[in-house]
Amino acid sequence: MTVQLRFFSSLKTLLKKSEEELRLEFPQSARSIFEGLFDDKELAARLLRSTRCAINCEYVSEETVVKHGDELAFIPPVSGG
Amino acid sequence: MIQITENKIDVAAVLGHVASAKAGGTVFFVGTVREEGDLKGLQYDVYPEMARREMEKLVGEARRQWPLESVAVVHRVGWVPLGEASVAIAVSSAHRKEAYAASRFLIDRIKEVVPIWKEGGGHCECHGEARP
Repeated sequence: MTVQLRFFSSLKTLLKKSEEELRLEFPQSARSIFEGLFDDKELAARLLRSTRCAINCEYVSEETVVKHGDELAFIPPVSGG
Repeated sequence: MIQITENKIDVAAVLGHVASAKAGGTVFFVGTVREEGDLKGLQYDVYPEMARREMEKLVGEARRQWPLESVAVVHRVGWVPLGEASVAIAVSSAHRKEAYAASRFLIDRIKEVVPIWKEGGGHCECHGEARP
């Protein structure tokens, strides 16, 4: 199955990309996908504490398991206004 | 009216949008990029599809919570030069109390949940948060 990933703001800068199509062999949670993006697991854990996850434009818990065709976005602390 | 735009916000048009003969009070909030050192402006990143949906939800919540006549919310993204509006919120209601409450609710919640980001350093708008 494939999942579309989207990155914004500081995460876009850090990962040097704004999106990625990810192929998964088996269903995974948003959290495990996020952790898989980083070699440095401590960094991933630290970032995850301030990052929210959204599937198809709805905030979800990081434990939510993605489905085929989902768009999974990682949302750093927002600062609009 | 709910809008996310890369263009300069026409603040008079946002205010005009909520004009109503049934409204006894209109509250208008404009957030602007303010002077801070040699800051020339701020770059805003956005998740456009989700930001729009979150703004629609917030306006829906405000309408359920208070009896409002009309609501307009416009957020600018991309590059916003010093002194120009980054956000404009107009709320009209029969009575001022509800319009004030809804306006405050909208700007506070926008800053908490709508996926829009100020890039880089600098201060902006009324609350004066700094980003490292």
